[in-house]
Amino acid sequence: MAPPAQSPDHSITKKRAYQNTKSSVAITGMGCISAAGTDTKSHWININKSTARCSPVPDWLFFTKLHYPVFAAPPEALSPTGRDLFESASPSLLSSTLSRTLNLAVSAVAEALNQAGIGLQYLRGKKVGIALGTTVGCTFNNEEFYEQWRRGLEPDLAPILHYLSGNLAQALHGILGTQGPSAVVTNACASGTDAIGLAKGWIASGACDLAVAGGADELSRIAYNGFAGLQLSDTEQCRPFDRHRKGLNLGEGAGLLVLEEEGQARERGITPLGWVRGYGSASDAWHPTAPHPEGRGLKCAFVQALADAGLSIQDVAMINAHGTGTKANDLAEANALSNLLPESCHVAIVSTKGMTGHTLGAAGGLEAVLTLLALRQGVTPGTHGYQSSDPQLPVNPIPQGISAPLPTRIGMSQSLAFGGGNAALVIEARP
Amino acid sequence: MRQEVAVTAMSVSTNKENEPVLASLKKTLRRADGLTTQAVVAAAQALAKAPTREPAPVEVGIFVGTAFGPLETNFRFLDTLLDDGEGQASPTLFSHSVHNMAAGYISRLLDLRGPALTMTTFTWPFLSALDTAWQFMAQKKVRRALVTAVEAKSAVLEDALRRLGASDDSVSVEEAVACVLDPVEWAPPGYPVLQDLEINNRPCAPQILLTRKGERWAPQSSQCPIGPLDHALAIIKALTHLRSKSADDILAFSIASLFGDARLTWRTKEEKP
Repeated sequence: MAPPAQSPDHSITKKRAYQNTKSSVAITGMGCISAAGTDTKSHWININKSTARCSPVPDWLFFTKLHYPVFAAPPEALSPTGRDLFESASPSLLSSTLSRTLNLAVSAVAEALNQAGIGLQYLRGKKVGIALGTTVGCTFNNEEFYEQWRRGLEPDLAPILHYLSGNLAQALHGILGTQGPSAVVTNACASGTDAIGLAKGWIASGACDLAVAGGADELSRIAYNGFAGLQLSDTEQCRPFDRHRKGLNLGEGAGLLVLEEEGQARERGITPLGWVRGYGSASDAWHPTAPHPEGRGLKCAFVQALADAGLSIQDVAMINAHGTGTKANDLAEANALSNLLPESCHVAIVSTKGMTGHTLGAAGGLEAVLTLLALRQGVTPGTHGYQSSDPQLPVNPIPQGISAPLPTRIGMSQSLAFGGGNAALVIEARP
Repeated sequence: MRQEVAVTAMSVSTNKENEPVLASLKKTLRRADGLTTQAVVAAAQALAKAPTREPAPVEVGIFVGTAFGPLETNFRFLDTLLDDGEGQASPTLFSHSVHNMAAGYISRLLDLRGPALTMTTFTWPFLSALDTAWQFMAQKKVRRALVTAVEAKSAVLEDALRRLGASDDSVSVEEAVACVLDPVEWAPPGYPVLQDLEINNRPCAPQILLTRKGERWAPQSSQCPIGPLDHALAIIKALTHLRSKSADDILAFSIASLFGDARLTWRTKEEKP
């Protein structure tokens, strides 16, 4: 194993690299839902087949005159597994009273808990932390209510009450009947990654017995128009890192991990799927919406995550990049990675957004799941949409249609966000 | 139990009281909404009052707590969408309707490059941000933490409150509070040292999260301040008050409500023998 990472310019990470013992925050379950599938198995199959479900905005989602395609999850956001969990956990509730974001989250958490071998009875006897990232999921987006209100009418308050009952973490606690730490991280597109990092800290410090962490977000007409206004959306299917890329496609979904202290998992007879080894988070301090052109904050978060894991870049087999397909993001990310990766280092770089779209607050959670899936298989599919290299980008990801074998079981998943936020995770799969 | 941290600076920002700071940041805040402006001002003031240490920019974390975030900016964006039509909505308003925009401005204008996390909860957002900041300090991810709570004035929520029969407008303030957390050894004697923080949430009827009916704060008053930001203000005032008290006092700020309970315990840093 190579020596731990050192930051050339940040003393805090230098010190920590040697102080930190390898944490044993185990991943015992994972679940996801998006346009690429309703569970981890279907995601893996569809991503390997490169069957992307990018389409015009479906009528059942919302009406729009614009022509930016999206990656919509199935109309029924609550998967069969999710419905089973929901009906047994909260028999008096109706899933139709939950937001679409919450239904997506319940679907992912149901799969993750099943995989972790955790039933409701066990769950309710434990101190459970829930840390979720979201963007749309924490916003009041009821256009009909607002339109009536601003005309001086007194619309029914049900949408306000729906909004107040929609805090993802607390609502999920309510549905599951669990108690413990609760956090909704609203760090724009890095929310899910930061939420997992926060939950890793909870487990490491003993703040809870197990944690459900990741992100969830739904498509909304408001965010759709916002990204269109910023001219960040592509009218065709997105092409992360490709020389012809023109922007992102919005998506929706949820991706969640069950985290536990490893000893506890083994006591239950559960072998971990992997571990969250490291987490780093840092700011660009640069611009409200554009990333620092050299990826200043991303580099710092990346180095911190490696140092937190006590690992070096030479230990890493793959990087699941943020890779949105916008000109600025992909350039900043490629510049940062070029600076971070030695020439001798052959890390497989991919973006999965060509298969899921940009799921905003869910992206970090979903991509952590997809990273672990690839690491467990020892191979990563290429980047859907990436076919021709951009001479302006100093690194090249694995192209669409190519699979790259992974020499180690350690990978990184990274996120960049509006506001200049950056976050990175180091994930290791069990051999 | 986490390692103790000291509260070395505190600030409350209102529109009236911070003209000098506002003037120095005026140009860069010209596109920012009131929520972001107040958060930046409170953060800048708190940082200016903090002990003269020079942690690297990457060693300072920003932790913002909010219940409603830039709700009114979201409505202004929606106005442009409804009035001007699709494809014409304001991109500037959209980008400023993102919940972490205040944290992003604080980071950029104060050149702080550590983690910047925004925590959104209707219960006690300041305590959620404080708890997260403390965790990051305990795990040595940051050496100094800037904790801010901020809310925007919202006519929509005020109207909802009125219709729900509440007697007070809990979200009528547009202010921010901020405090700086430092290692205890950086704090001068007499400053508050946080010992414990416990937050327990439980399900409740959603309107209670707006009306705050039945919420109680002890020991300062039987009726706690209304609203999530009012709690932050009250805690900051309590911490400020403590600085004139003796070092042996262990004080606690407790909240009980229909949606859970919280307790913050602190002491005063002792004088050197």
